[in-house]
Amino acid sequence: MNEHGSTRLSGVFAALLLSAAAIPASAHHSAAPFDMTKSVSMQGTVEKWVWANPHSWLYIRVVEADGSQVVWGFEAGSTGMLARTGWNAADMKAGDKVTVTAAPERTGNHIGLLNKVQLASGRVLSAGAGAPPPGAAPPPGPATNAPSPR
Amino acid sequence: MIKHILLLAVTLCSAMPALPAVGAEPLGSSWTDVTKLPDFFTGNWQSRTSFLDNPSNVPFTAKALAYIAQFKPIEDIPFAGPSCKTPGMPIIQRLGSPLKFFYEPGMIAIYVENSSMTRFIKLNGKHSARPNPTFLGESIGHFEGTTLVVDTVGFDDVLLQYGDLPGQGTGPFVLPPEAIFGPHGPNLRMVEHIRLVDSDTLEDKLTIYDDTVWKQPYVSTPVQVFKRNRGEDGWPREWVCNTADTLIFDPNQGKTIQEDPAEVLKRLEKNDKH
Repeated sequence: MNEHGSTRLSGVFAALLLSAAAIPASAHHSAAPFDMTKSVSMQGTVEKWVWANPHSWLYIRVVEADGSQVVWGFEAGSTGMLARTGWNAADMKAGDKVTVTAAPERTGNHIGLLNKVQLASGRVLSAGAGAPPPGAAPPPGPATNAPSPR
Repeated sequence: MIKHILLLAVTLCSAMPALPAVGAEPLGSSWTDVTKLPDFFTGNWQSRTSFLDNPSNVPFTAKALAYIAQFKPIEDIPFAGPSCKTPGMPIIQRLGSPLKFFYEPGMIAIYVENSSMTRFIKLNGKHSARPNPTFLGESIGHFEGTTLVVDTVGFDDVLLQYGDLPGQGTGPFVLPPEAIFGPHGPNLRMVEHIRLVDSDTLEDKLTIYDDTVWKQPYVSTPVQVFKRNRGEDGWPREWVCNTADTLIFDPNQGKTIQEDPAEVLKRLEKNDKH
């Protein structure tokens, strides 16, 4: 079921997105094509989870309300930084049911900058790797010396 | 009297081992020096600042102004493309993944996780007479107190930011479409002052010298700030560019083409090696 289209952000989530917008690892090409003021959230089935550099990618198949199917691609961080934030290459495999939240691509393509993934188990993986803007709360994990959510 | 002179001489001689020898080796020359160096080495260092610079007032040369007049902004830097062509120094140090410092007498190495490249800084040495061009450059360094001063020359085709487009680049995180990039001259030189601000904060002040671009030394702003990761997060990791199947970078447009994910997925499955 497609549940995307939610463009009204809570303050907390807006802050998270702004933090994500400031991630240097993504900024070299991500922040420009993605609308960081918006958020989409959708449920789908994992087609492929590409653990790669400079960016990992998650591809899911989403069933629209009319029954049609759409493949979405979501860009995530580098493997090292994802690992520091608690991710693992084995976290997802084809066929897994997931709920993805992302900043959509500006031109309407089915592409997003991944913000978080909720697995069928309920576990949430967040894309918090990287540097927050000055004054913002630090991301979870590496820079804070806080335990990673492994 | 002679007895007193002898006693003084013996006293002075016995005290000599405690005094630094004239012409002593500079800091960074021995294994024991590692205990005297600032601790750049525990864990790794996570960039906390924009990888591109904010605007500066350093005046451009006529040649640079002519180049800027015809410059077309780019959306992505080439690093985003399938080959992950490194931007080289200084930007490669700032792309989000951490830096890891190592030491041996006469050398400090910095593993740059983004790209799995390593800088080798020769301590207390001299530049080669004719350094071959590289993307990290040829670096020599020395300590001024607790500050590591690194002088780098011999650059290949690095991604050099001249500045920012008018009215752009004022935010805390400057993006590629806001910046001006251009070629460097033959004598491009970068000087870094690297020091600990506190036990978990490192800063890298950069000054760039290129008289084909700027009339005066270019001081990079903001000063690059890094935070220390410790423990498991401070462990370096492999980084290999392997997104050739997911991203297509168009150098003519200066951006990554956003393909239909369904088409990318077909290509991935066709080329799947696992």
